Amino acid sequence: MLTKIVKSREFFLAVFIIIFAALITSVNPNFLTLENIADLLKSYTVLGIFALGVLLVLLSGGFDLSFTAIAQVAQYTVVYFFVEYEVDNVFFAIIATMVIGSLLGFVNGFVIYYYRITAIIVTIATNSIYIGFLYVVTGGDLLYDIPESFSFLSDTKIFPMLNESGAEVGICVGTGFWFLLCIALHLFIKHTVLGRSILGIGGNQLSAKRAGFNIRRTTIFIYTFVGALAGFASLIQCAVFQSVVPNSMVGHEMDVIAAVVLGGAAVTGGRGNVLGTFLGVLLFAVLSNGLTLMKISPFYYQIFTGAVILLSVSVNALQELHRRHSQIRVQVREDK
Amino acid sequence: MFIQAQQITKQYGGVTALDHVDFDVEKGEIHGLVGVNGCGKSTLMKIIAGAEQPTSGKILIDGVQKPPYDPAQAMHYGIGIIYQDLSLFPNFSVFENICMTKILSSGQKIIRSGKYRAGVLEVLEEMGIELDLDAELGDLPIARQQLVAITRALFNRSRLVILDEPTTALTGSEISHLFGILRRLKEKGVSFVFITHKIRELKEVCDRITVFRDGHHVCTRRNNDSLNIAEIEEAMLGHSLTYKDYPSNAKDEVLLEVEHLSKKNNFRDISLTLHKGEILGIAGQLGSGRTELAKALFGAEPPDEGSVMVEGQKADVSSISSSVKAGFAYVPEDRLALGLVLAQSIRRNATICSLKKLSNFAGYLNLKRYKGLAKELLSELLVKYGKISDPISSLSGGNQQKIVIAKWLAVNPKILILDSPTVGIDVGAKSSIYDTVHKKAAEGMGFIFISDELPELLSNCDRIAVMSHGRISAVRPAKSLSAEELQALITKQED
Amino acid sequence: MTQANNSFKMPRVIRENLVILVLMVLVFLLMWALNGNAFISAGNLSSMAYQVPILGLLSLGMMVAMLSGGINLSIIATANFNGIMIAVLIRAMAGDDMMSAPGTVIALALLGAMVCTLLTGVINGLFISLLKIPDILVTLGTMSIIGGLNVALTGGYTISDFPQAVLALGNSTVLGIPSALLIFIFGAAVASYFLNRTCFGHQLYMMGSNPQATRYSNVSLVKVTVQQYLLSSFFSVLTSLVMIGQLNSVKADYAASYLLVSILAGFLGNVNPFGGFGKVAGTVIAVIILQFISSGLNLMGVDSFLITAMWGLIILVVVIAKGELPRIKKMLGLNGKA
Repeated sequence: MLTKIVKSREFFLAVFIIIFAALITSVNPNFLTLENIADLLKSYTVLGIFALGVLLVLLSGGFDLSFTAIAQVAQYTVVYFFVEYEVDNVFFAIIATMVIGSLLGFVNGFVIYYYRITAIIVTIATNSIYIGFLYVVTGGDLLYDIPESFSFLSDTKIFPMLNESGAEVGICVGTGFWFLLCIALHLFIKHTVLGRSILGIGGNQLSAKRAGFNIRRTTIFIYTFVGALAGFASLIQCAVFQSVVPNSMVGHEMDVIAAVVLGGAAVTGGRGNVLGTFLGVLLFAVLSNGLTLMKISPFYYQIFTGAVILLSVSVNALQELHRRHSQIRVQVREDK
Repeated sequence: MFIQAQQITKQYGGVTALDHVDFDVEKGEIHGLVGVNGCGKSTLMKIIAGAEQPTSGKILIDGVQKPPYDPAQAMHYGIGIIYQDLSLFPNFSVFENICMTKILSSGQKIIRSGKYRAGVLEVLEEMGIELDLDAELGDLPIARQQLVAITRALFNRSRLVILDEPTTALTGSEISHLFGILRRLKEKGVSFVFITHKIRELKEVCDRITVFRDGHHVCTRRNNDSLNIAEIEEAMLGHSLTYKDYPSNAKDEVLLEVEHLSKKNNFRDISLTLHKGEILGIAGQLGSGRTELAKALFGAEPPDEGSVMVEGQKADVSSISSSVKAGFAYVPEDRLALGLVLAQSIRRNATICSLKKLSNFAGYLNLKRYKGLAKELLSELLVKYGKISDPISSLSGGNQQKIVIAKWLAVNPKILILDSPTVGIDVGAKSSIYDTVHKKAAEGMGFIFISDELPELLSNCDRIAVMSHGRISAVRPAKSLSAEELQALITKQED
Repeated sequence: MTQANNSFKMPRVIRENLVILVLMVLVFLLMWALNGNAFISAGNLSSMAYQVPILGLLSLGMMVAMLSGGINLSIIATANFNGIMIAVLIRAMAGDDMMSAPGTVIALALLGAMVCTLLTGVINGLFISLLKIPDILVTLGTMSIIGGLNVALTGGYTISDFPQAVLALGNSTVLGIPSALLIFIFGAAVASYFLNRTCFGHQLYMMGSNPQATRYSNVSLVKVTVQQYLLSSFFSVLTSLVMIGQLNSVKADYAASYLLVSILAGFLGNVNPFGGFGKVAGTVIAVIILQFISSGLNLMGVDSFLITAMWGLIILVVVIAKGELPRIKKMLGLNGKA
């Protein structure tokens, strides 16, 4: 049991994060303050929530490149109309973004299921449709007037503490939602029929069909759910940045997918978990923050990201090759 | 009588897969169902399991006629089917694999599987086996996965379990273990339909045997001492298959010398020789290491140690390309997955091995010679085809297999390894393949011929090596051997 | 096919691409109708001739990767990388004043950049084939690394003072034909040659449909995959030459939006996204169709973002059309002949 934990991807990631955090702290002791950690988590909350959606898609053996576009559309629409009609209620806004996100995600799920076409092509297409129309309709204008109540997500602290200078520090509500979603999604995947059917489809689609899993409902659910999560995340994003920029998230799909893959999810489906994904995002956060604190040029950050992705998938691949190599094919009779 | 299928007809478009067939299974019976590929046996089983609906005909369960039903309803009636691929989830635990169908049919949203645990343990006890319920299924060997599938069927309260070719991936001892379990369950009143193309296994475990051919029910026989294997074979093929007596072409010159070849978890200490023009048979159960040995010589799964000499020269079998260079060629057992690229054209499949020969140093392909070669190969092996640019999936199994052999003959290998080359193909194609083998042997080509069909080995080979548990346990001249003696050699070593 | 078909035989290129050829003509006529004679004016035709090569070359590179059922995400980063390497190498050899660099330096720089770019193809191919990592992940990684290198090498700035000789490659005319178009034609010929007339091409198609069976036919998957990505990155080299000429500069993130369109072109041109099937002619025709659409819409003054949205819509329409076509045929009773 212990060896299984030690050999697991999550353990490896956790150790890596701790070592790296220790390294950064030794260079810059500011790293390990509550203030810095809370800030770091806040700025990675959006990516973390996106990652949960992507995890679900990858578990089912699918792919999604459109969630950032969905987020942009949901965000823009909600902020625009909430300002226009002077509705300043963050809970309505959460519901509204999630509804818009679900609708846009549903389109993906519908087309992917009914036309049996590779998800990657469909979601690339919807990505450009959503973004294209967003620009056409809005003319690419930025929105700076964010309803005040939205800052509940980014500024309100869950367990506020005072630092030396008397300012409140602590985990913000948005990050709290992220953690909650992690736990909820973990339970959902492990203990509900719908959650298991996602893994079942990713593990073996034909078996899933024969066992009686509802593939249509599951497929459509996954993409709709990713859309809803993307919508929710987009609201936190605009609360954190206090602005709506139509291209602030689009183009970063691959960063999210990279974090999920780093967390041990297989793009071939069926393998991956919430803890791994969470740690994958955390590792990205620590790496980028560390590089900044260690005053390494941001130019190298992208190179670093790419190298981490290649390294982690290579480790996966080597493990798989080794496993296949050492498989027992024949019970060879020993010498007497 | 548990189930009776009466006058079942099934048509796909214009093709009749089943033509007014009758079939029944008694309570507590193991009923064998045989026939060559495409005879309709799998279609009938799918109909019984509710996965397909018959075009006409009726099905009676416990003497009551049932309206058309779906798989979920079939499960409710107590009918379970285990497909050849087992249809399990590699990423789920054993326990979850067993009770997932039941969870789904119970309509619950939140999984409460704890209450099923006792039931699963009960079934395992009934079967007389133990399984690590919390292990991940993908980590188990195929034989254990098969037991998981059977456990699942029984846990779903199946009174009839259909097993579609359950023994293909099992070793001899695993097969006898499986048969033990089947007999044990039979005593408790569970019925089985056992689909296979290996008649020896039917004889060992079944109460009755039914033969299908071309969508028709040919005969049903009780398995007793008077049952004649040859008669069943004849019923399967439509005529008796007589094996010709070929003259030996073996010469004195040694072509291949294998010494102390080993590969961990595959085979150990294999030594053999092959002469020019000789056909060396390899007999042995599946899982005896025969396919693994073939793949090792071909360089697809290189051996760990030992030496291979071809015509007195040390041969490098560390990769497919070096092994082919040394003179090896391999016709794999799994024709559809490894032998052919089904979606691509007949021509591409026939010429794939010769592309290097047909192109110059820069890779430029001589299209004229390329097209010519394809035609030449197909006519040499008497392949029947429509257009040469049609996908190879449009051909019959026999013609497909001829192309797999032809693509290798085109590069003139010194040693051709044939791994179960005649499984599931018609008699005409079979004898044409035998003729080709002997013609090439007369030209000096050496053959390693792996097969389950003992008469086939005895009629075609000069010598036969018997493999078991990854080792060669005996080598005998084929001429002095009878089928019974060979069978005894194979099974003796399995115990 | 019935025998009646043999008596009247269209050239194979036309027969195989009949649907999209008809589509091409229809789109052409539609755009002509919408724009009037402005669409067939010399100005518009020549502007199309200048624009089509960039998309076309990228699409060919993408198609080569799609033949094994994958996607080369790094293709555009690689194209930018090639351009940046040319600048870096010229500066390294001839100092900061690129304009006055001697011919030998320019030739060496072009060659050196090409070697570096092709090397990225080799790296992609090796990771994919040796470690058996899904191509999308490998090219995602290399896209990120090369993209980062591009930023690091340029500091995020635009480099624009290229010598005339380099610019001329993508922005001059030979006998009145734009050189970019000639490069595109050359690229299409190269792709067609490698895919249809070489050992490698045939092996690639086979590998795309069933890699294991292809391996068991004495084909080295490592060699074929490396060759495949070499060829794919060669198109990045050609693309970069055209881009430098037309944009007069290089930057880390030029042409990022072409990734989608190049996949669309392959898809529209009947490249099977699961691998094994796809022809140069189909892709080229698809690229021309897309160019007609974008030029036509541009002339009409349509917002460039609406054109982006159009690309996505076209993919969906093609997906749905391909899915519904058999059903429509069935409804009209046309399936009897098929």
